Amino acid sequence: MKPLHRVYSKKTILAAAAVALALAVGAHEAHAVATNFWAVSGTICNTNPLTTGTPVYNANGIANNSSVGTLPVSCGITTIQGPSLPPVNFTVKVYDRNSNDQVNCTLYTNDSFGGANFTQTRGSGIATNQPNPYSITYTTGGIPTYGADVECTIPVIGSGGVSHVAGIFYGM
Amino acid sequence: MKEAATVKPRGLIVVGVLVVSLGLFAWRSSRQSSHGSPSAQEAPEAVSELSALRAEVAQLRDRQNREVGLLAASAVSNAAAAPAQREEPLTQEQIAVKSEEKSARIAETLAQKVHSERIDVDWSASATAQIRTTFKTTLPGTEVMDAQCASTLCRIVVRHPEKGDQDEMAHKLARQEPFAQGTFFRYDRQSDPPKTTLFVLRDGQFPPEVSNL
Repeated sequence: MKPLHRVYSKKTILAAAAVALALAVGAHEAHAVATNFWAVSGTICNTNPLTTGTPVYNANGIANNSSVGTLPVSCGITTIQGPSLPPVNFTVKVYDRNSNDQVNCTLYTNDSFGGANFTQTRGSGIATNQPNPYSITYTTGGIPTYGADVECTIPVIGSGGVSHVAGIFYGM
Repeated sequence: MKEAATVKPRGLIVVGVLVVSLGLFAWRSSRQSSHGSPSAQEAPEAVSELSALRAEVAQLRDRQNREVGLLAASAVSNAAAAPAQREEPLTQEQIAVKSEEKSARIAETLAQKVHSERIDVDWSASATAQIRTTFKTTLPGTEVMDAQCASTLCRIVVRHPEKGDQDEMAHKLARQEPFAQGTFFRYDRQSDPPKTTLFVLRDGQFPPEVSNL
């Protein structure tokens, strides 16, 4: 009887594992569906005519077409729903085509008085000439947010082409 | 004669079915027995495989429990939020009050964290020195009243000569270390002169306590 018990236990464990995996995946999917995300294109970003760089707006957002000057851009997000459902994650998608310099972005979230209540600066990494978009992620801890600004510096044209700020994504 | 001819085939069929059944049972038993009795070499492998499977099942069960817990918590919070949505919408003033309350809770939680966590002596000393230097060079009029760093967080209290200095502070510090890692600003706009408490996140992550507020 012992050997038989061993055979059936193995089958039972495999079946239980399959069921547990299916439940876990189902629960994970359901949880993912419950999260809301918004996206804005990099074309909303503004430039200061007095600064360096050559802005180009295209389907990939905003790019720096200069081979000599870094381009600073400012991207204001005003569509945040208020503090009751503050965004907990911000992601800035960039194309970094310069292997010597990076796309560097600072997130500012604002309180009800318009003051920055959280700031964080992150980059796409030095020496990362990437053909694909890179995600710079920020976690705000759910602080009350009335609006946000993302300020980036886009490096000059690199060996891989022009660098972009493609878009900003945020989730509740 | 006619009766004997009809009974005989039925008996044969019954006997045949019995023989086939017994044969199948004997064959299955012997097969299971040979599968279920691993040789001395196979036994440790089977045991380790079983242990691995059990561990995997335990992991899956834990993960499932966590996911189900998250869903339940989400459902509870949604249920709690639902009546509020059906009620009168909050005025701007009420929203500002709730926002202020949450910011106060976050600041309190972070302050407790700074006081309760162990001190990473090397990092704490260098971060505190860096903070004081950055204020001196970037915001010379702003006085650092207190600066404490533990192991994952710093808490800094500053006093501004003018309200304008308070408003400009975040943009002036945001790209400088250690503030660039992530800084939460808690403004005291009522005091005269204005004061601000800053919390600098060493690794850019809020502690889990904050996310649960």
